[in-house]
Amino acid sequence: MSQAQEGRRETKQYLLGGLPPDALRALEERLMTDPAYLEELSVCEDELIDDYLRDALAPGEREQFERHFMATPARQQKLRFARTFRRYVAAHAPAPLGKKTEHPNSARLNFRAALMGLNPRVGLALAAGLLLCVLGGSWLLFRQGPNTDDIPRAGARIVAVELSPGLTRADGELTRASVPAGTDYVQLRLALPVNEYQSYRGEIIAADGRVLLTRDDLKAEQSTHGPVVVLNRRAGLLPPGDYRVRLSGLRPPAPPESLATYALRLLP
Amino acid sequence: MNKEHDITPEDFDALLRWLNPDRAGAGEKYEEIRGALIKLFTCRGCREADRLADETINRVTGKVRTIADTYVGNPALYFYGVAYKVLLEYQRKLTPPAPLPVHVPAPAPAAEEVEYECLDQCMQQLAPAESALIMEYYAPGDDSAAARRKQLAEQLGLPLNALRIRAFRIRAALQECVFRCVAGQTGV
Repeated sequence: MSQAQEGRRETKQYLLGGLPPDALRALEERLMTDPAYLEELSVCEDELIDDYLRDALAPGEREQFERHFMATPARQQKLRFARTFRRYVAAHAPAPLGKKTEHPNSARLNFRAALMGLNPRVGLALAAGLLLCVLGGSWLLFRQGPNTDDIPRAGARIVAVELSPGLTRADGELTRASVPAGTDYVQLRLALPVNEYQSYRGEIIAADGRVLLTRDDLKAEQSTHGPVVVLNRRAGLLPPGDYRVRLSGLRPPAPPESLATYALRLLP
Repeated sequence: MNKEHDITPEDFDALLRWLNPDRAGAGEKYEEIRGALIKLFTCRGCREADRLADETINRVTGKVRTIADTYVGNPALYFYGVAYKVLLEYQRKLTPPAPLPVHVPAPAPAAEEVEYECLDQCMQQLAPAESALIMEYYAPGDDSAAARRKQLAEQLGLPLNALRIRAFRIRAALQECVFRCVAGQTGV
């Protein structure tokens, strides 16, 4: 690891509130006396927020981010801006970088504009290829149909678990649920922190970090306590143990936006 | 926490002289220290970072005439020592502890749209080269981001870290512009 990388790793730990006391003092003295480091810290803050939004933080880091880093209104404001900025950039994504940016005003180039700039024959061929991809994808989707494994059959025995966002094991607010023998499905009802996305992605993650299930295109449903997203899983595939459930908002063409995590312990 | 400080103009002049005999240089140093204090308190999870930074400065200002002649070293480190005491007092007075943010809500759709429109306006105010740079630097695509940024740095003839700092500064300016714009439109 280079010195710069090591420095950034330490800064990240500081921002997440995980730096040991001796290193903490040295870092803060530098923060007070080196204006360049103050700026570096701010750069790292933005990068940390971006990593959080693109779900690139390790599970422990996510918890630290939500519990420590986001504790101040200023940081919450920065996160809101980052969300909007991310959405904006996705909607106005420039064409892939060429050899040289000849027109600085081309920041708002979109794919249509890029296609229009191509030789007509090449553009036509690309368009035909795209059409084939779309048709092929649709056919595959139609052929496979929805994932019926997650749709409980009539009369199935279901254990429903209500989960609230952002509860972490470290806070001692783990949701516990008993799944008796003979249960067919576990139904996770994820309380939505916000309900403004076209659809949602739910992921069930085992204690060792393995993603056991990913479901896209989940829709919000109304419950007596407000909007929820429902994630079903065969009980046999969720043995007793600790799990995290990660929820992201989907609003194409923007990348998924991380919304909340939920901590769950299933008991026999 | 709110200790009474009878800060006089003479005290403040003494503070500035201590920071730098040149008045302009002293003002610059003062702003640097205040910015660092706000960041420090923010990083320590204090919700009132600005107020705590000012409290620290007031305490130092109140003492400066007794320490300026004998203190050896960078004055910023003296501020750090006082800030640490302010921090401990703040943490002791937190009863109950500050609530942990279990979730950071996204803005309501209408507010989000206002912010988005403001961002669009602020983007228009950027120089074309700046908007091109920031759009390219932050373009989506996790897998290709590193390679794309490296290529961009080569095109601009910049070391990668210099590009990183430049993109950050443009983004920070955009953020400030958006906050001002939203405040102007919503009256918040």
